[in-house]
Amino acid sequence: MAEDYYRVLLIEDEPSTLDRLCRAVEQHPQLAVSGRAETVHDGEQAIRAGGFHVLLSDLGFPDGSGIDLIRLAREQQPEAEIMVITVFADERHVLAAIEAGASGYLLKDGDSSYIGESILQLIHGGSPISAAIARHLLQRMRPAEPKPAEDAPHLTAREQQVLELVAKGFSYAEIADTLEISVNTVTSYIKQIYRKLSVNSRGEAVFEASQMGLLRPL
Amino acid sequence: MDRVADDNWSPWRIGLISLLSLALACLMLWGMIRFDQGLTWLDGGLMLNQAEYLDSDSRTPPTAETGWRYTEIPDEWNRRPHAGNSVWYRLRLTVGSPPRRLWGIYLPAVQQNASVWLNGELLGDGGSFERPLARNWNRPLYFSIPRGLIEAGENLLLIRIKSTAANDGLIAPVFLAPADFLYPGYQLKFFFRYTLLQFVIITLAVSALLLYALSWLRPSDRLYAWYALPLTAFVVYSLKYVVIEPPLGELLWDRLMAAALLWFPVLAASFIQRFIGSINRRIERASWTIAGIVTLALFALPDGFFPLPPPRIVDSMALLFGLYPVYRLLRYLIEQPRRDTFLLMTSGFLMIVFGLHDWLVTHGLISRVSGQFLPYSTPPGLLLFVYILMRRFVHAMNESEHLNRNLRLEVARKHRELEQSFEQMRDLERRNAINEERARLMRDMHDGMGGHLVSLLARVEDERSTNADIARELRAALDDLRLMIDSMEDVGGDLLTLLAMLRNRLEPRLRSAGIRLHWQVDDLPPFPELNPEKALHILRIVQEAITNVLKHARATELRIGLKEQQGDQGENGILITCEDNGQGFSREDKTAGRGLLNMLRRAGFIGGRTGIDSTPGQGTRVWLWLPRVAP
Repeated sequence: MAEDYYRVLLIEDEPSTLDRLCRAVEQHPQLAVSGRAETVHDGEQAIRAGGFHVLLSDLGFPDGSGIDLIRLAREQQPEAEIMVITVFADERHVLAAIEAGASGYLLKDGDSSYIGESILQLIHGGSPISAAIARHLLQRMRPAEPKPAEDAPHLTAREQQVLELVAKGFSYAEIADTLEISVNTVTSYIKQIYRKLSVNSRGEAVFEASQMGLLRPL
Repeated sequence: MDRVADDNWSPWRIGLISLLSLALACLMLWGMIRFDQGLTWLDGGLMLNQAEYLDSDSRTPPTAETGWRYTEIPDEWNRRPHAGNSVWYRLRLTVGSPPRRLWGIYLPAVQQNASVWLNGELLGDGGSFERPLARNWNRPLYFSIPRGLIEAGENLLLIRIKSTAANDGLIAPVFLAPADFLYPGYQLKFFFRYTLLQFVIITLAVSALLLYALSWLRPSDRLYAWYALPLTAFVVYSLKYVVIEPPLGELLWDRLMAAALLWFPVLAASFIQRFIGSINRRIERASWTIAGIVTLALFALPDGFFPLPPPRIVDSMALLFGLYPVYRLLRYLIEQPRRDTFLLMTSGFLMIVFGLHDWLVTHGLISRVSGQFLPYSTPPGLLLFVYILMRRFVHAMNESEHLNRNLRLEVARKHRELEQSFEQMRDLERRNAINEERARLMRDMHDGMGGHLVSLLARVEDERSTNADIARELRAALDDLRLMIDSMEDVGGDLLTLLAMLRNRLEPRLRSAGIRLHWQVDDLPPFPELNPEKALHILRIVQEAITNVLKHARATELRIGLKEQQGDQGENGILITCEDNGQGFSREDKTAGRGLLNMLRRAGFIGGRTGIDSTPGQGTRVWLWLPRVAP
């Protein structure tokens, strides 16, 4: 890394929330805001322009869906980390974003230190995951053993173990203890799982996106 | 059954068609007799109609030259006084030259057995001459003449005739002719008088059996058994004409035939009365009683008791009895003209006419050469009944097919109705569920968000409030909203995931407050009754406990536990605990008291129990116990 800080692109249609997020990012010594947009249209241009390490994007915009922005960023800037900004981190929104290519989520109301830490954690390879999302992934991604030929993404035995422990509410550190691996390994498993989900659900993503469109007023 | 016409016929009209049908019956009888005569009096060949006779019981041609008397053939003994039951006839036959072709001798009718001798050679006989004597009531006889037996000049033909009773005896004309001329005539007569009769009898017997079976299988169709009863009597009686050498002994056989003949009209009357549905009990009782007494007498009394041979007494009675059912049919026809009744009456006429003819023959009032015809009168009646049965069968089949079709349609209709009502029920259930869920959301918003927003308003209006106060209140409102959203997450009854979601939410706050969390949970089987409402109450109770730790406890450690634990009465249940190492509080603390009350209320909603154990300086333990519904 040539510079000693990471540039963050912020796309959020609520100006005060956007301001708040910008302040939180700027407060962190290793982060800087490289750009901000309030519409899908402006956001697309900013993404195409590039020059960011991390993208923070909302999902609902008056002129389109954040899912499209995430997918565009995944295509245009494959190296960038993408986080979805959400009020509730509910499974439906987060999963749709992950399928489009996001690898983390950020609670909108988190305080500035939480926001900065979460972004940096993601940059260092740590994707957050909630118990509800883990539970959902366990149901959706069948283990590979019985029929490897199936279309759905598959989990390795270790990934499955990790997801099961997450679903039971254990923290990464506790999981690392239980499985006698490092916390970094646990986070890399989670990231791996997110990537599988994103790769395998290009088709589904379109469907999810259209659903997201309907849910936009949230 | 069908009506003959739409409106009732006048008695005149019925009288006329009855007379016509009677005339038809007579015509049929006349036709039969004519046809039979054509087979009896062959047009051609050598007919021998003059003979000498000698009353003799000799088994071989009598040698005596004296005692022979002249007679004409046909010869009916009953017209001769003091006749025996065995007679020899001597016929002379003069030929110019011996025939080159095969010749035969044909006896169209003899009563009851004959043996034929030509020039001292026995040509053959019609069966046994001993007891029981062969009865050729209806069977013509034919014998081939061996080549060379007929000589030029005079030939002597001797015929022995024997009958059971003297007044039954008969010899009809005797024919001699080349076999190829004589034999076809004989065969036709044999078929008409014998084979055909066998056929009729077998048909009647089989029909009777089928009708018995039908009425046995269908008790509502007893009428068929009533029809089969006279049929049975008639079948027994008709055996007389086709059984050549009777079993059971001659006496018993004759009485049996007589009884069967008597019962035939009695049973026929019973059937007809049931057919028309009006039973004259007195007549029926009387006729059954008479027939019963006569039957007993026939089987119990010796031959000599009767002034006439019993068959001749009985056939007169049978003829008289036979008039009654025909009379009833006629009356019924006048009341209700139906085709079936009419046809049945016609077949009754047929039997009466044929029976009258046979009675006249038996009693010697008309020539016996033509024989008896009563059995030939039954097929029309039987055909009629088969027709009625067939029609009923076809009708029933059509009806059942029609019913089946309707039934199928009905079933399909019901099926649709059921589906519709199921659909309605599902719809109703769905609407109920939506309404319940809506009501719950309203309640939650009212209790949670509403309360938070109102107190937030109060804070904002209060000038002393700081931004931090307002932010705290806002955060509380957001937390509550998150709880509501989490409670609606489908966790598949997994209580652990539900608590884990709460941990995900609160852990950053605990961390920044410097509280170390210990996650001491057991993996539990699913909790099927965990619906969003229950989930929300549980989440609120636990969140309340954790928030209290954050606000008041000044703790450094927090243990959250989940495990299975039996209740006080040993019922299965789940225990959630929240234990800190903070400063604790005493009973007198009013704020804690209000929090506890809230938790108790919520626990009550979901059928659980909750409690707070705390001692100042030694931490606090909040517990929530939930019963498991027995599987």
